[in-house]
Amino acid sequence: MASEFDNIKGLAGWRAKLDDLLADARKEAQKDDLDARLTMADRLTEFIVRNPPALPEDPASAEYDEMDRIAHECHDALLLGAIQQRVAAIMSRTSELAAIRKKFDNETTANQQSAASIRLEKARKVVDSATSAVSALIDLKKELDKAIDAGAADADMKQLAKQVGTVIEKLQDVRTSVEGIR
Amino acid sequence: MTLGLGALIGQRIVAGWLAAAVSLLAGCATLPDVKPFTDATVSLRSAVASGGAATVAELGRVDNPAVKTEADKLAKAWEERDKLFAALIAYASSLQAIVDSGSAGAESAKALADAVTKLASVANIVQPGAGPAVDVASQTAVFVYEQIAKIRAAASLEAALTEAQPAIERIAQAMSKDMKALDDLVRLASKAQTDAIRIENQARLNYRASLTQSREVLMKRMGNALDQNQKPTQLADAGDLKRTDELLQATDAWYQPIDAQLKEIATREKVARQLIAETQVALQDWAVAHGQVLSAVRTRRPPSVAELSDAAQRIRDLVQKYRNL
Repeated sequence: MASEFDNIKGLAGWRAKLDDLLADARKEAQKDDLDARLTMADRLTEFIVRNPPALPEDPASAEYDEMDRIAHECHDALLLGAIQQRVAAIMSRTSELAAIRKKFDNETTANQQSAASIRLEKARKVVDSATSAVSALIDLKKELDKAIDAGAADADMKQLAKQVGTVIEKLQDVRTSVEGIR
Repeated sequence: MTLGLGALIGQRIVAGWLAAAVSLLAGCATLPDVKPFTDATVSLRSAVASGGAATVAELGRVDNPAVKTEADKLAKAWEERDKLFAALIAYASSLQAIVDSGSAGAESAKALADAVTKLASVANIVQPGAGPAVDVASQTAVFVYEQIAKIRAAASLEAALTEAQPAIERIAQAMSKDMKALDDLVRLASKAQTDAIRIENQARLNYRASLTQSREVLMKRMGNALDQNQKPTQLADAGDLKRTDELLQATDAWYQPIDAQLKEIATREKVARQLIAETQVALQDWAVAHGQVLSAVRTRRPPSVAELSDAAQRIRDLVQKYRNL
């Protein structure tokens, strides 16, 4: 397959070719066309592969090496520039995505609360807490009654026993009202 | 408190009417299946993570410190994408939780009734004779709440989906741009790796290229000679062609490993780009599916999620394929 490097002759020919390539590379670097940039990188690589190999006895070798170095640097700069642009574009969207994530964290919490509310979890917790409180109140009332029966209770303790008894009676009223609502 | 027979019958009638009225309303509340959306979100997280990791790995394979620095920056930026999709999975699960709660209204009501009964029992406030009346009331309450839970769940779901839809669309948009950038990065990294191999082996590849070029010239000349009715054995270039073929064959020993390396890079590039392309398509499908679930809640029709399930499966296959490379 014919290529643009097939008919280049001598050091001057390769030097001129490199000048052309560098001029084209400068133009491509101004654009944001990835296909064109990859093609340019390919041409620069092909230049390095196709120019004459370094030979110890050839005085032109040093110049070929220097041309390879320049082509290589240009090749790497073209690719690196494109890589940096894309990584920078991704990084520029990161803070927006982080803000959206926080919004979803809040949404999730709200949804979980809705689900819990539909499952009547809060009502169940209130009733469970009330059950524990009532158990404790009944135990307290028993202890207070024992103390009163033994004649060991002062006026404050008797008053407290009366109040606890009233609370338990009120609970019964609440139950009656709830049954009425049903 | 003891209820008389009349009161009991009256309570049953009231409960029946109430149940019928709520049941009519509940007929309007249909809860859509959000599981395919949740599954697709899980698949997307895996695909987005794999696409990012594949790109970071390809950049990391480029023998250039500046490119490795970019790989590190990309890895750091991609951590936020992973966190975002973890949050989206939690969000999708919370939608599922609303649907499940709506479907489990009877269980919730029974659990609450049990808790109330326990409270009454602890407080010793259920009077003899009240048992059947309380039981009927509880059964009615359970039935009524079963319907109410569906209505509440449908309303909560619609509110949640409506609130999230613009953000879902924005994510799909931004991530689509990210996917395009990843695709470019994979191409650039693969090109850099391929070129590095070619430059490293420039002298040998130049030699092989010149042999190939000579062979092409000889073949062309021989073709022309054959057209002029010369016999193949009489062709002057036949010997040169044989020698060139032998020399080309001799290069295979070092050329084949280089070729294998180049093919390996090409295969990785192909699969990574397929994965990224599929993820890009799936992101759009995913955002559309979220909208379809919302529409399903509003129109009380089941969402169309077959395409989304197909996309999720394709992505799972590609992630596996890339991991196996």
